Amino acid sequence: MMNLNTGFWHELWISIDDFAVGIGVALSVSALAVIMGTVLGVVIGLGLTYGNIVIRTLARIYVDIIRGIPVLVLILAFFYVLTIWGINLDPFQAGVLALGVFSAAHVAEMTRGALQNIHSGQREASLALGLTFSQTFISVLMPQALRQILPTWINTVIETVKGSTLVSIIGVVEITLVTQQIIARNFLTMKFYAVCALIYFCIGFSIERFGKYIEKKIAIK
Amino acid sequence: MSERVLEISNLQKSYGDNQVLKGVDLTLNKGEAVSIIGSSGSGKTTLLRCVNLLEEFHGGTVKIADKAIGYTETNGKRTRISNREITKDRALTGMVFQSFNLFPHLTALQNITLSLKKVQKKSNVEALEIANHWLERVGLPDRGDSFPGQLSGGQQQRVAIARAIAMNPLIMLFDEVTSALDPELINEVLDVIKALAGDGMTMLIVTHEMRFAYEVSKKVIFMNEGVIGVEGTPDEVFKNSNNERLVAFLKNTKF
Repeated sequence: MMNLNTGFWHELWISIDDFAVGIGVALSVSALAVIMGTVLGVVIGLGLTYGNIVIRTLARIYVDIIRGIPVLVLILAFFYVLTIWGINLDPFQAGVLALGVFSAAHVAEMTRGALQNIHSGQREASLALGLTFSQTFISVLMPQALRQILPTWINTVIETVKGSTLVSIIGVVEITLVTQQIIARNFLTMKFYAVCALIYFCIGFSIERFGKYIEKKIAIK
Repeated sequence: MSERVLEISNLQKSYGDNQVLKGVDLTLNKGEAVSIIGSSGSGKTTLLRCVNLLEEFHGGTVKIADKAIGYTETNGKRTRISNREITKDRALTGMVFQSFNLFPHLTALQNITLSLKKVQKKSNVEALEIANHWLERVGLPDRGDSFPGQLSGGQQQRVAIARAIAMNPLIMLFDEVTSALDPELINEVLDVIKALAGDGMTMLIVTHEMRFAYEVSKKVIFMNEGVIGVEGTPDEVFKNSNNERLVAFLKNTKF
């Protein structure tokens, strides 16, 4: 009988490069999506808070529609539906866009909540001191809003990383798809899904710890 | 004749159908402290907030140092001036609020230097020098690095006073500045205001502290239902027995 060396540790050893690529892709998708979602989300959140009725309504429609659609559907939509209008995104781009658009809706809602939670006296005191609105926003409102947003924002980052598993469905070779490919090679289903889960846990846990650390650092005394 | 700093004439303000200021006239000379008393809803806080344009008003004029603020009038048509100009007009006054409104993410010093740097474009060194000077004047020379959350209510309010006065306004506006304080902390704040009055700061004070109003003011104004009910020297107002509303009001307040 041929000595097929199918021991778990050996298989893991020869899969390290694949996992490294998968982790790299997952983190890139997530990071780009988070950056996009945060920038877009803060802008939309400002629209929700300070916009006139038209801007407010548009922002509200965006947030409510996107929050009501599963991320998976968004991913498929960006990959397949956009081709109708001749926009051909590769899987990586479609994945980033879908996750970014999704997290933007959440960030927008957080931004609105945080800004509206700031006592109106803060703005009045700033006005009374002769600060303009943009000065007030930059020096008084945003620093307070950011501190309030941070814990939920970290949560969104973790959700985005976890959501990045879904882009495997359109063929982005991230951690989940890498795992499936490895399993197709060695049939060590349970063990490699466990490895996959462990990797996600490590990423999520690190982000969470890091968030807690920052939170403590910038807490209002 | 002393220099006139504030001149309010026929000031009117409504919230929808509810007219809260029904033609108020008031003048304030340089170095004077004037207190406004009256029951809640009488329009005294609104009056104060019109002077620094936190509230819009719908009739009459407010002049600070002989310049009408907030609105221009041509051929009988009033228009509100641009936000940029309103910001400038606001800088003529300094306001202290009932709820302190210190910026919680900044230290006491940073609370004071922020507007000195951003609005008056002072250098960091200069701003710090001014801020330290005023912190000392309000009796908190060693609390500059404390955050508002680390200070008592009375200390916070004194920082708020320092913050407003450091901007060197023509008039200080005090809006019920001791109402949110524990009784034992009220006096430290009132003492600071008294000291400022003693230095000749021009101020308009809305207060529920009758003894303080009596002691600090040159003139006391009793507001009632959007108009000035009685005005005069503290003695004239507090010993007045002709105005029924005033008598009833004073009977219900501690002196």
